[in-house]
Amino acid sequence: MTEKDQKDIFESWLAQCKALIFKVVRAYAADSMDQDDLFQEITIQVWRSIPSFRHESAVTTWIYRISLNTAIKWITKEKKRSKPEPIENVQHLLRESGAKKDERLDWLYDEIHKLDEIDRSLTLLMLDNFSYKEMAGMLGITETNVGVKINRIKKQLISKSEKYNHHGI
Amino acid sequence: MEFEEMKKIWDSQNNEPLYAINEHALHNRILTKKKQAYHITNFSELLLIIVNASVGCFVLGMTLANQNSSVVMIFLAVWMFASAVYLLVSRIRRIRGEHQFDRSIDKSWAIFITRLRCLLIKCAFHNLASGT
Repeated sequence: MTEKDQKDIFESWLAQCKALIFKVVRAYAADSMDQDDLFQEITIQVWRSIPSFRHESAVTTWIYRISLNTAIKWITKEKKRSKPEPIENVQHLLRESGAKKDERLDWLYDEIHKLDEIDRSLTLLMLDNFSYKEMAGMLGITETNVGVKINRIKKQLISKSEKYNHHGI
Repeated sequence: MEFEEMKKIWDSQNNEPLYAINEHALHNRILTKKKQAYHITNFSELLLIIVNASVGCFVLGMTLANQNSSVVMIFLAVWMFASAVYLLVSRIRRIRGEHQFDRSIDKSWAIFITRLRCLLIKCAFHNLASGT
């Protein structure tokens, strides 16, 4: 594969799956600097993964798998890191698109942030309609375990939403 | 809120992504990573070639100057020279390969190789110290 082929595939994947990557970035990184950092890590891993993509799964599944694995590794590394990059050296990768903000979506992300790394991944996959089998394959846990965790997360989210006081709901 | 409603809220992001990618900045970041990887690899390769060749010369010189020269020390000197030559050949192949496929993005791999080489050189020095 030439560099040009790789670049073309990368650009098409990025155009096709950017919403998916943004979801993972927002679910795992709280502030804009961290979001930039994680986005960069994910895009680099996606770039590196192109030659090993064998069309055995859908592109979205592949990218979700890479994004979640990168995010889980990134968050572990981030917990150990003490020295952040100086703010003046930062050129932001992600900008607000100007899309209308939904408070309920912010609440949902806040709740996702409170979960542990694996539960966060499961929540994202569950909200994006992945099957238990696909989730189990991506995260390396059994389908039964996925089912148990999903039920618990669903109950937890529904019960917390009842406490969330919003006049639109 | 029912779970189905949460799903609807969640799916709204697919129609209108909340972020836009600063492609210029992304390109710059990737280029910076490539440069960093190139510098790390370049520096470590040159350092190892010089160190291996110098240590090989030193060991060979000391062994030949001594009356009771041991085979082990000569073997060690040859080993150091061979390592330097191997590194030089690898370096030339890597530089040629860069024109065919861009591998320099793989920073973590470059760092891994650098660490591995540092470990090998430490072992070589340790062997040298314990041998003399």
